[in-house]
Amino acid sequence: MVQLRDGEVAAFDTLYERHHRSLFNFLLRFIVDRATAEDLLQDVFLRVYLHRETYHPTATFRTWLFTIARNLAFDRLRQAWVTWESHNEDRVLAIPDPSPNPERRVDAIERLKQLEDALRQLSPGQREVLLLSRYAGLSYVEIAQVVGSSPGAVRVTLHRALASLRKRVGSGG
Amino acid sequence: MECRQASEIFASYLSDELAPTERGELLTHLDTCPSCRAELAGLKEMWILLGQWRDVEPHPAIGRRLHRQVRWLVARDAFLSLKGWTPSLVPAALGVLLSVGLSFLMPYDALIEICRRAVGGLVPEPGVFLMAGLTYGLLPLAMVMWLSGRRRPVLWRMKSPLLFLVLISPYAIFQCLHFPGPALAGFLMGLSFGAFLGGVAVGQRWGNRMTCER
Repeated sequence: MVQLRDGEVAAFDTLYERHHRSLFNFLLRFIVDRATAEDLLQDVFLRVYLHRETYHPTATFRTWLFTIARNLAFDRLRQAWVTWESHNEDRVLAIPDPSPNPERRVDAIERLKQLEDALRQLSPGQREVLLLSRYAGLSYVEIAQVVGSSPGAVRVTLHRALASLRKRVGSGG
Repeated sequence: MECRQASEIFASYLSDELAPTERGELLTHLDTCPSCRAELAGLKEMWILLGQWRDVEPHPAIGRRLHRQVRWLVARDAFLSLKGWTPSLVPAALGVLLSVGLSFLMPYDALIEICRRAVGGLVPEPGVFLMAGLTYGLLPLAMVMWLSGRRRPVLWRMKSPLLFLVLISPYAIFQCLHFPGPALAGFLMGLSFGAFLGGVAVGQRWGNRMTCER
């Protein structure tokens, strides 16, 4: 990131290669719309370049990146005026890893569909904490920096999000 | 540890955020509390299920478009800021040295005479001067850019030829003072065209090849 700040274009390519996948999947699961997630991915990395002067090495790059992504995603949700629950019906998330057993694969897909529906019903605040913890692999301290909260509040939110999912999805037996 | 306290840290346990002592206390409590074990098993099931979502890649065109946009922004910033010109000064100065050195080995008048003999009658007189000027811009800049061998955006590559022209103009004009007006214009146009051709197109093409071979 420091190299990018000094105008080294190759550093941007490295940052993109390293982080675009986890960032895109965070956005996709948060927004649940592929086109919007791709649009946001592009916006986030453009902002990384445009605001490179404001980056301080005291924060990890991932924290900074996800803070930008989270703020843009919330802005987009606000602008869209469409509530998250009424977003398009396309299933963009429930894609399980291939399983050799077809029956188990069908089961897994069904469970993931339920999970996706349950995720849609979480509040955006719960959803972002859950996604940042489970998929972006951020620590509580990092998540707290991203969402502008405290590690204790992150812990409580994550617990509530998981409990809510558990209640909605039920037992898989 | 009580059930309420244990329940509050289940998520931390799953996301591996517990301190070793807290973790030990939780495991001890779980050994003796079937209801907490059941609750944790349910949450763990969700945690594992969440992990079964496969990551997907964005469309490759997104990355390509983004890289193009950023390269353009980088080049624009480098072109507009004074600091961005410093790296281009060295190739430009080297180009000037080579061009001046070439003019010592082969003075402007001598090359113009050779060009005149080669194409005499086929092109108008200013065209002969243009050809000669082209040589003093093209060869030095192409050689310098080839030696630098770095892949740069077009806007960035235009800076060395521009600086080259600024630096060499006094010398070139002084050497050509005795030329008639159209001939002087032709020579300077050739010098400019050669510098841009060498610095932007030819030098970059060779430079790319060198970079790939490395």
